Amino acid sequence: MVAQKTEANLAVEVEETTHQNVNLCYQCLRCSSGCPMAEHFDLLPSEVMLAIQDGDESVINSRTVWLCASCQTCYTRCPQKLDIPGIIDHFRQATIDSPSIPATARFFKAFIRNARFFGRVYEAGLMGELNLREGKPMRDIGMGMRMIGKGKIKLLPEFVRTPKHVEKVEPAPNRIAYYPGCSLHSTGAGFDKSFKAVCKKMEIDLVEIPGWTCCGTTPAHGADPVLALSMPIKNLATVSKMGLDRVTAPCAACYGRFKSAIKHYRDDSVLAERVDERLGDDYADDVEVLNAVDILGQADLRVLEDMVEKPLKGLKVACYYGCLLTRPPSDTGVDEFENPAGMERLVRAMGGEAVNWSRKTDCCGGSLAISHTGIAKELSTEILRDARERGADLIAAACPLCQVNLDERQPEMKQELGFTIPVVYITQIMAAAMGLGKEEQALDQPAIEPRPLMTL
Amino acid sequence: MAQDRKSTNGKHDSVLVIGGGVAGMRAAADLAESGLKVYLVESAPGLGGRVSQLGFMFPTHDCVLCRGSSDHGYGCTRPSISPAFQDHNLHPNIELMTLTEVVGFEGQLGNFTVTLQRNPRHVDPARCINCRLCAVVCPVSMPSEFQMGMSNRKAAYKTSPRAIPDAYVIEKGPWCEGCSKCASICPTQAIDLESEPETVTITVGAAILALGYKLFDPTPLEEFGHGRYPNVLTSMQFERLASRSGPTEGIVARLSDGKMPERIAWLQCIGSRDQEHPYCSSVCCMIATKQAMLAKQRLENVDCKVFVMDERAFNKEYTKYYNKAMDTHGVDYTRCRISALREDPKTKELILRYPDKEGNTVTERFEMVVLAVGMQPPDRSAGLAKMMGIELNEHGFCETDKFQPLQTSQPGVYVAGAFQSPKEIAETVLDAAGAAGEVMRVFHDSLGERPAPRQYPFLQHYDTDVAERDVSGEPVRTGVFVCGCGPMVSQTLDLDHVIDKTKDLPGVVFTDKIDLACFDEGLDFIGDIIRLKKLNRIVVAACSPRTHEALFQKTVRNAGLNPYLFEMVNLREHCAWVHDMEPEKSTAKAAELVRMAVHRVLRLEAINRIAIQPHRSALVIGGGVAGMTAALTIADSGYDVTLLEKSEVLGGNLRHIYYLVEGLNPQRLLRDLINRVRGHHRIDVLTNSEINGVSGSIGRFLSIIESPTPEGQTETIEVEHGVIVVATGGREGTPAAYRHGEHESVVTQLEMEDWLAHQPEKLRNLKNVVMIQCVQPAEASHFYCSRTCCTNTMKNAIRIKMMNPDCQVTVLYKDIITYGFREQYYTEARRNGVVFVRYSDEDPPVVDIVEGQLMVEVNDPSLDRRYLLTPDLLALSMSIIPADDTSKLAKILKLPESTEGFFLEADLKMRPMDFVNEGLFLCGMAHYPRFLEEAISSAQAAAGRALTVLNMDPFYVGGVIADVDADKCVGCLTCVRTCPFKIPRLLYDRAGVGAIGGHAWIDPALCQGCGTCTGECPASAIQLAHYRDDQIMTGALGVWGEEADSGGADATNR
Repeated sequence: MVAQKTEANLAVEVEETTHQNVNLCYQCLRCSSGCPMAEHFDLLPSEVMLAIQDGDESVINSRTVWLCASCQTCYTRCPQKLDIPGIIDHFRQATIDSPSIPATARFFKAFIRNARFFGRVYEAGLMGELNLREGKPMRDIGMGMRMIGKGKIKLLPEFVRTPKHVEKVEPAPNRIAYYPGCSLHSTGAGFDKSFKAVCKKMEIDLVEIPGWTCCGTTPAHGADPVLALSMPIKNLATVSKMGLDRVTAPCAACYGRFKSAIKHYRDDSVLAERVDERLGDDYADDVEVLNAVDILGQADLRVLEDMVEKPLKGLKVACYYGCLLTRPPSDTGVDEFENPAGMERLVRAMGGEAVNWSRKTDCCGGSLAISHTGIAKELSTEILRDARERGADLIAAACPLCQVNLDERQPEMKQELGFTIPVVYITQIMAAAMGLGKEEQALDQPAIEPRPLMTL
Repeated sequence: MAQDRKSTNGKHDSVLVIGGGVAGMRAAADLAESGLKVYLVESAPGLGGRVSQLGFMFPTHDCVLCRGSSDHGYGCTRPSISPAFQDHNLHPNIELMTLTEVVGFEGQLGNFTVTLQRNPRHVDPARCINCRLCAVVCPVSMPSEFQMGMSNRKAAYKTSPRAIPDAYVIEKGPWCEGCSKCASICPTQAIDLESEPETVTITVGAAILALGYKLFDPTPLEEFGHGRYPNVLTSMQFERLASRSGPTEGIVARLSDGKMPERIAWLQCIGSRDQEHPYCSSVCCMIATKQAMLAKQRLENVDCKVFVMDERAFNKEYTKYYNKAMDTHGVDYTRCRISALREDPKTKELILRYPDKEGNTVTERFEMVVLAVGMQPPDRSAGLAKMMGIELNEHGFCETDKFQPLQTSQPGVYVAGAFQSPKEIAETVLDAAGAAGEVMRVFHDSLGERPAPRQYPFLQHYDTDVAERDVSGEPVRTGVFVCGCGPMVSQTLDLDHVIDKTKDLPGVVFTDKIDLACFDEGLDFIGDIIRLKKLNRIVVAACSPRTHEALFQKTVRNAGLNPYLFEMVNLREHCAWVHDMEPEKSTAKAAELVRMAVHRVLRLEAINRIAIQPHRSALVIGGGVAGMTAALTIADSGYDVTLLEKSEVLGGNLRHIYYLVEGLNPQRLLRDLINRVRGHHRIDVLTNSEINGVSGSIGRFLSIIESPTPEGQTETIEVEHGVIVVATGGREGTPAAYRHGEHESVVTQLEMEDWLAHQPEKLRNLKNVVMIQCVQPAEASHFYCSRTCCTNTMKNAIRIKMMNPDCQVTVLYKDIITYGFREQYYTEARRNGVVFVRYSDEDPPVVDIVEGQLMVEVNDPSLDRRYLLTPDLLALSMSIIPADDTSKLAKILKLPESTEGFFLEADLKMRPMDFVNEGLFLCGMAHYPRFLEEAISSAQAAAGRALTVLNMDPFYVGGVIADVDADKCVGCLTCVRTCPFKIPRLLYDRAGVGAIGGHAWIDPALCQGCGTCTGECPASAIQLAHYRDDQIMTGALGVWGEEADSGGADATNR
């Protein structure tokens, strides 16, 4: 194929939206080396960058644009600190309203419609709509029924709108706003229950944000740059109105969105203005965002150790962080992003043994779980296998999307794997070790039965 | 020890050299040889720095320390690093202070007051006999820094096997239990655990910073697992592993299980070329290539893969080396910066993932991964710089001026080596010699005030002036001194027995045991006995000649005897230590060895070097930047210079450079240089002149020069001079490809620069410019990297974008070679929108002209994309070739050429500014293409080296050299062909054996004494002094030699 170097200055367009100078890319191929989706792309991430430099417009219609898992690995490792997922987002945003779009785009659009209509994602409705549209009404029916049975998917939606008036809350050193996120109210119910229980035991006062709405997660930032910021910031604005200056969002995806939104809001004043316009109010930018591991890790480990009533007795736990708890470090601001140890410290405080393994921040394929389930399963299989090879008895997760991917889909992967390994939330492990009630431990929730291991 | 004193104009003329690595040692040696007093300060217990940790250097794979940084440093038989740094015989002008740091620095050029903190060694180097007992008994173990943490050492240790000073050190720290076992066991009571740090103040006139660098620690880059995965090493750890003095004695084995790896990967650019460290560390590409080749040589069937971004092989012979790695050794280079490493928990293999050439993702396992870590500013340099008023650049390295690359922001303080910018050993040595040259220039009236003439291969202590006795008529009177080395030898060997066996041997008139011969008492004793007993042959049976021969030779000479009448026998390493389980047999061996030595000394003769008074002037060939800079440095130092320039004008290539990538205008440098050269009262400029012949040798050259007269005729001038500096430069090669000459818009980079400087309006209409890198010119038979073209292209590309941002600029390249801090210009070019497309040798760009329009088609191998470009201007980066007539000049001066056609220096790493032919020096592009500041520092280096010759009074040549017996020579030319240095010549006007015409002649001023010709000569017509056939036969053959000896000239007679 002979590509004529075009006048079309794709690089300029990309720079205008993303503020990334694509010409800085010197084709070191580091992004392509670490991309978990590389085998499935038609254009490697480095080839995307080269295509933009060349003004080659075929990049816009590449499979890559809609297959990217947004795992942020390339951005984290790029020596020139180029925001490649952000650049992919640019192409998504530019093409999402075209007449013919791939499955992922359809998922994004459906998700956003659903989230904006209901305020919080109504999973049953969303899956129902997607399955019907795709002509696959029975897709995931087994998993769906199981989850409905455990109360993890509600049959009826919640309708929520952001309140205009918010009651002020008295600030206190141990008081923090609580943003569960759509998942923790449904598929991640176990996380919600155990997190609240552990916080209570640790005397952390969680105040759930009244009228909180969906943060938008991956679909929002893949569809519209203003929406990508306005959906999370709307909630931060409520926290600000509550009079609190900190919020915790246990769901890693929500956490990641909050952090990213704050960063872009600060760096791009033009975009910030548009967001403020959309929200009808100037966001004060005075709220700090922490994830579950941050909050729990703030306590003195000795204090935590004292709270343990049923030590884990050397239970081998592989702590799985996934992509968004630590990446990209420019958004999250963490120091330990390649080899985090926050969960490991908690596991050890609970009397368990933290397994040393090299897949703790590998992508599970979460954002592609609906549109490209096969790929998500491939990625998840590698993670589960490595954990088992390292001698782990179970896996601790801190993200509901990861947990669902690794746990709820395990029955489908059993044949490929040859074994099962329970995947629970870190807070569930803590709740069990602290001897909290069955309801709080929520160990009946996962698909792969963890209770025999966890009966301590 | 030389005293510090003020010179006649009130300046203090001693020099402080901070840092005892290869740069510090080189600078100190040159300064000392020129007669200046040097304080060499090093914070570690021993000299050598980073270089002492390297077993092999690229591209020669020589062992580092033996390849001296001065003359006569070849091979293990010669003294280490330089005759200036022999064990127990340091150059008298150098005051060495290890374990010392600079804690205060004030004043100005000519008068700096420096406060030094001398930390205690706790071991007296004069009394340490390296018996190792303190290390054996010390209970405290810790990771060895020298071995990069891969093995342990004790708190009582030696930094490296051959450290200077050659002694142990006790590191008392919080771990020291105060058991004092070391002090108790030391046989010479050399240990004092109570000594405290001491503060010393000195006054110096100038200082040289040779601080080196710190290696980037990749542990924080957790994606590579260094520190967690045992088989992930840094490049320096691999060096130690592959080194014979390393933790595994050179066996490349995995740290996890001791298995030898079958697949090794090198990951380049770790801690370089990214946003945190936006520069290139210059050496890592070559280090990985070297290590891969070493691995191939050490391990059978090993797979070596280097993961690079660009392969930066930009110095002399490096392209050839890189090709050899690929073609001969099968090292694989893949272009990919690896994202992360995963470890297999069972096998401890590392798993890498990368896209192959077709874009398919490949997963591979390696048993060992080496991280090529970058260079960072050295520890504590920031604090030191602040104290000394030295400005640092944004990366923490020393800030220097482009046109004065060795001068720091503090006048009188110079810088050399990696602290100035990441660089390799050869460049570091150039810097060091250049900095020394600069200091010599400033203190020129003090040069030679502390002479240390090299009459002998060691250094004479200059305040004794004992005359040498002529013993040639005397009967042999041999004294044999047997040293017990404390308990080290005496405990194992029965020395009385040895003496008993010796005292009746031919020639022996005196034998005795000494407890510690190397101590002052022992040396004094030997000297006294020589005088008392009128001995004329000395045998000392003690430890290794490698460490102590020079010391005893000095003692012998100070007692009035020629030092070549001395022979040393090793009773320690060769007998007592290696055969400690069999003391009887060991004693018998000792007696044999002594007997052999006694027979050898019967045959030894005095050897004296030839003293010559050099002509105190220099001939500089070439009037470009390098030639002019060298001429000025030498002339400013008080010597006359004849500057030859072939063309009509001075300036060379610099005349055609109008702007530099840093944005500076070099024309003002050019004008300044020409003014100073033309106006200098010591420089005689001969333009339109060429050299037609040279005769003589170091110190006494006679050159025949053809020069025009004012009337327009040509006349022949004869010039006598002591040294020659070759600075003939290079030029842009002639294009013979890509349609140059067929279309006016196809230009070379120099042609384009001319446009950009003088006709910038032409630029306004340009919409599309393409530049092609690595264009092989008509003159070059094969490709080699010309080092400067990538940066030059960045310069022009940035300039075009600056003047016309809408112009599309595309650069077609193979590898981008913007090394050191120049990497930032590559980033700047990209930031400005310059697009880079890679091409391969197999499928180079094709240029066509279609209806007057240039069409450039190129294939990017990484994506397999073909591009069609339609430039308005096509600029070719031509390789730089040696100046015309380089070959002709090489023949006249009898100098060798490299594979690229440039002049070939004495040693690629340690002596890049010297030729093997003594008295000739090399600088500038005549050596290899280089940047302006590199040309300047190399010229200062060549000048500094030339000054060490001109300062000598007298200069000594000869000594242990080969000599042809004309009566036996048949003129077969074997010696001419086998001499590694091309020294023997056939003198056709003389007669050989049987009066046939012509015999071989070896210039005593040039001979290196390697003995190759001696061994090869089929007629045995050549003898090597001190290693004559009869001297070797008696020495080596012992008993049989004894019989061959009877009837020898010096029969025994007591």
